[in-house]
Amino acid sequence: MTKFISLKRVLSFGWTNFKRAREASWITVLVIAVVILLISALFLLNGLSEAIIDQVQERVSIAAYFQRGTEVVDIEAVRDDLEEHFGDQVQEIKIVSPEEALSHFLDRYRGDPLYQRALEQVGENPFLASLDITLNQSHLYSSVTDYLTEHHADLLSKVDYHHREDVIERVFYTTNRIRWFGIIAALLLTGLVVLIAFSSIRASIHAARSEIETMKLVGASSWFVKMPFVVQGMVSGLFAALLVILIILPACYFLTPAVESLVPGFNLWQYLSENIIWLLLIQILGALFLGFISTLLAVQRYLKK
Amino acid sequence: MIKFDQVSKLYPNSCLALDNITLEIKQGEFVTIVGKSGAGKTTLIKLLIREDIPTEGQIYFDGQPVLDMNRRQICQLRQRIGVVYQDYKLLPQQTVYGNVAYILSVIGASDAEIARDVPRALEIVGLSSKTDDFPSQLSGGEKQRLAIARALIHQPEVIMADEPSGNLDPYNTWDIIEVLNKIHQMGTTVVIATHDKDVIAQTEGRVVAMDEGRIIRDDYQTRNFVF
Repeated sequence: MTKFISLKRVLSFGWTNFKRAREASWITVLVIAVVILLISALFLLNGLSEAIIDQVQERVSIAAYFQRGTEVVDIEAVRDDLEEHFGDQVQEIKIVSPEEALSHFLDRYRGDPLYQRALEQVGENPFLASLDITLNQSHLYSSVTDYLTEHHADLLSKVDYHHREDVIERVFYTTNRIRWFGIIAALLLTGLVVLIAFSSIRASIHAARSEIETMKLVGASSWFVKMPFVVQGMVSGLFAALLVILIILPACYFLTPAVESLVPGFNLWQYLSENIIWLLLIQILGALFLGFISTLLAVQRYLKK
Repeated sequence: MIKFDQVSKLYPNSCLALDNITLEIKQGEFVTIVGKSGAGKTTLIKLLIREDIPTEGQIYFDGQPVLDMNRRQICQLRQRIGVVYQDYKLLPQQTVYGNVAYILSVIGASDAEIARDVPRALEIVGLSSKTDDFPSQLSGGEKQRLAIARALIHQPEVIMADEPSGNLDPYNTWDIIEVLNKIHQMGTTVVIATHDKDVIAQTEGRVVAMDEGRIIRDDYQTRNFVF
């Protein structure tokens, strides 16, 4: 039999089986859809938790204060040196001029006459120019502090790392724990629903075991017996992916304002738009793979008998 | 064409289904294997198509030892033997047309061949008006005729029918035996396993009688065969 005719027939049998075993096919579609929906939800939740973690971690930073009178060019040179030396580990380095520092201070204590009077008594702007440094990893704060004191001690007045060390470590420890917990919980949950899907698809193939036996007895090769079932499983997967896409898109659109009010700065619809290709790939390939592998394993079981 | 050489089959429950059977069936023969239920008739068919394996002995099909065949050769063997099963073994998700066409698909026939041969086979067994029906919509006699159409569609070298009369009424039984006689006249080797005396009465040729897993008589007979 030419491979083309064989493939054409396998696809045709698979599609026909999908249509004729309507009830079993739609149960399979729903089971796969639940798995893919959960994986999609975890994908979106991952975006949400990353946004929250980033927001918390962004609040953690150290400040390197320069001696009074340090030129802006020198401060920029230190910033460039740090960015070059620590590369991707640097999330952000912001130059804060004495004027900006004063303005922040005034904004912060606007209603407090005590601070206003203290400033008036000092007479001049007491704030120093500084670099506000935000990094991706907590352990790097210590390295950056060491690097600054080793290479730029002549320009610096102080680096306020040591009195923030505890807070920084705790924030990073907690956020990393949350991140890992999320990954493990997602994997466990995914594993669990995949197993449920496997069992459900296996049950539907079990119902077709006498059909499989008959196909073997009339001389069909293993490939010719199992592939229509596998195609049927993949068609179910495709429909499941389509169903999930039809649920996820409007759900995200309508949930975006509510999510944004809970987590300011996180726009669910925007996150979805930016990651739609990945999400569609996960949904379609995941559903196809689940349909493929679960039917293949289930049919294989009866072919061995 | 078919040779059972000192074949025994002992089932796990210690039931001896076949006891040292030696039987040879030549090409073009019409053989009726008769015996009561449990005599070992169905086991013979199962062993020939490698649905099961004997405890002892060897089976040859066209000179090839069936027990030594690999998966691919077993598929080819099954394609060369058309079997009409007692329980029909039809594909429930396929229509009458689909059940017959499936066999041609398995052997790699072209779409044109399928479109040409399937209606012809259905006409021979009188199911032309039922092509779009599913097996669940057919009567016992129609299922049996469909099973025969499926067994003969690819013109196998041997057709084996296990209790072809099944639970059919005498009219349907006569009908089916007539179809098998016609197939035999076209040169196909036909083997029928039955316990039905009416079936034996309608067949001509060799009759092999079995009892408790043994061959007790092997003769050419036309009428009033006693077992």
